[in-house]
Amino acid sequence: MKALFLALGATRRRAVLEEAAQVLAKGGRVVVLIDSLSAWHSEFFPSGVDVVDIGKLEQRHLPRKLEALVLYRIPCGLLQVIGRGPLRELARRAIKSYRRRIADRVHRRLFLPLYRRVWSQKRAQIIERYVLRGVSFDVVVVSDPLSMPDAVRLLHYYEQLGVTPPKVTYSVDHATLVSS
Amino acid sequence: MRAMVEATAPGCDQATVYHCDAWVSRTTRYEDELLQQAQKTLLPRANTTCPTVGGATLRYIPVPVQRGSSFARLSEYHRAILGAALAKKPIDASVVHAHVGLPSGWAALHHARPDARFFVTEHATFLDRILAEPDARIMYDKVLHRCDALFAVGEGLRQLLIEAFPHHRDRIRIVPNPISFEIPRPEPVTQLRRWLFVGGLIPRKGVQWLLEAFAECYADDPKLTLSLVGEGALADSLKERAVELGVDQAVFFRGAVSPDEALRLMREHDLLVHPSRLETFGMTIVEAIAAGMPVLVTRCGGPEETLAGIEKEAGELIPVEDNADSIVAGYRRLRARFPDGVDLERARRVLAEKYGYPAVARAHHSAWFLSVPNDAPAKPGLVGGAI
Repeated sequence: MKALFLALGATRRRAVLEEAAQVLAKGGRVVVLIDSLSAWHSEFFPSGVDVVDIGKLEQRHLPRKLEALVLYRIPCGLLQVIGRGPLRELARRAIKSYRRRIADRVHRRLFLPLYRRVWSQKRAQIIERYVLRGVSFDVVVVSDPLSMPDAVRLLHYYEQLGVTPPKVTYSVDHATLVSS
Repeated sequence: MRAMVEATAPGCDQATVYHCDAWVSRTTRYEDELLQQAQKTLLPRANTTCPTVGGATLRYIPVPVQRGSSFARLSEYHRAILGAALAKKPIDASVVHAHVGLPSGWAALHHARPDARFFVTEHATFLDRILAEPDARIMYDKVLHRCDALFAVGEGLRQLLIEAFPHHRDRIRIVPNPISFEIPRPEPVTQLRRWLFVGGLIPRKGVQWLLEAFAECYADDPKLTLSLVGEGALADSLKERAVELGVDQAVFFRGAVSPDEALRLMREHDLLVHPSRLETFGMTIVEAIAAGMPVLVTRCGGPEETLAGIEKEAGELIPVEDNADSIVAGYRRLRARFPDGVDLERARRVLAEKYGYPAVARAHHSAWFLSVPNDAPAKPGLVGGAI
């Protein structure tokens, strides 16, 4: 079985890891789509799992590049310039604090929703280009709520291609059964 | 919920469990609407069904829920998503039994056939918080209004519901949770050295006092061990505290385990210590006695009711205190009279008669199928929250 796990929200990490291991143990192949590696920093993917960081791929999109420039690179660069010599440690702490308290919050609360709303198809295009092209999956496991819209886009993608889509499920335990 | 299905489904022609599982995420209002819409599109096309215990069929239905939602809103999410899973058709069952009033009862209420008999089991420890929300209270009232009967798992819950809804007094009765007494312990407990805790690592379970008490008893007997089964907000601080107390080599954090694994661990340990602040029933305590182990448990509502008449046979009941003293004293009293001062076989027998699968299944079946014509199929649909 070739399984594609959509785990973009990273809210059910344990279930993803356990079920991925389950598929691998039965000789299957697993690809896990995640939004940000940092959300998974305390987890270990079983060896043999292909992890695709969609968030990282999305950063190549021009609006995301601009956001990174305005929100992260310019302010942090300025702080680095100011914080030379004896101020280096102070600047390092200021950058860390700025990223956590301001930039990450603005990214999460302003830019990310804006990005999802205005360029909603971009992620689907990236998934098509980097994950689906030339690969067929038997099952798509929707692993958290934030992956649900992407699962719908995935189904549309297969419909447009005119091919039978993979089975969609919320757990591999249900993957071998017919749709109810 | 799993035990209830395992106990009751075998008496039915067909049983389907709708497991509506809240998938919580931090979202904006706009994103939340997108998720709801997406899930409604996905559900009719998704494989959600598999066989489960007791010969029943399980339909797994994730419900996307915005973090911080009120109980009323949570119930509305469940209602809408269950509706999408059913493709707007009613639940095809002559009996619908919901596990907890809100959110499952509310969802089931809207999708039960008009002629279906409707039941609810309530065991939520946070029922008082649900009823404190005005909207949720109104919804609960409507659930009760439609109910043929509501089964509270303990007297404390029944009283709370009767006080809140005196006009529904006649519908509210006690039917306990079922417990399996099937698998016996291979060897009886001979010493009370391997302590076990099963539950959330949260303040309400009193687990921080348990660790302090264990450290004190460990100082007397370095052969003691403590296994903590479960997860929760206190996990990290408990690990740190175990190191500070110098007992980290004797304390084992097992994390969350499956129900079967928890029962297996009970058969491998000597004493269940359950210092909870509040329990409506205390299922873990009955499971422990079913697994042949004595219990050291607080008088926190459910346990003293469950163990009424067999307190000494089952182990030791202690008061709820915000310190480790009562646990330590209770352990020492129990150890001093163990094994001759307890009678686990008798405790097991008494509890099996009250909470064993056959007893609880009988209570359910007599309620479900009473005054149903003989030729009508016995076909319940069970709507539950997390199993």
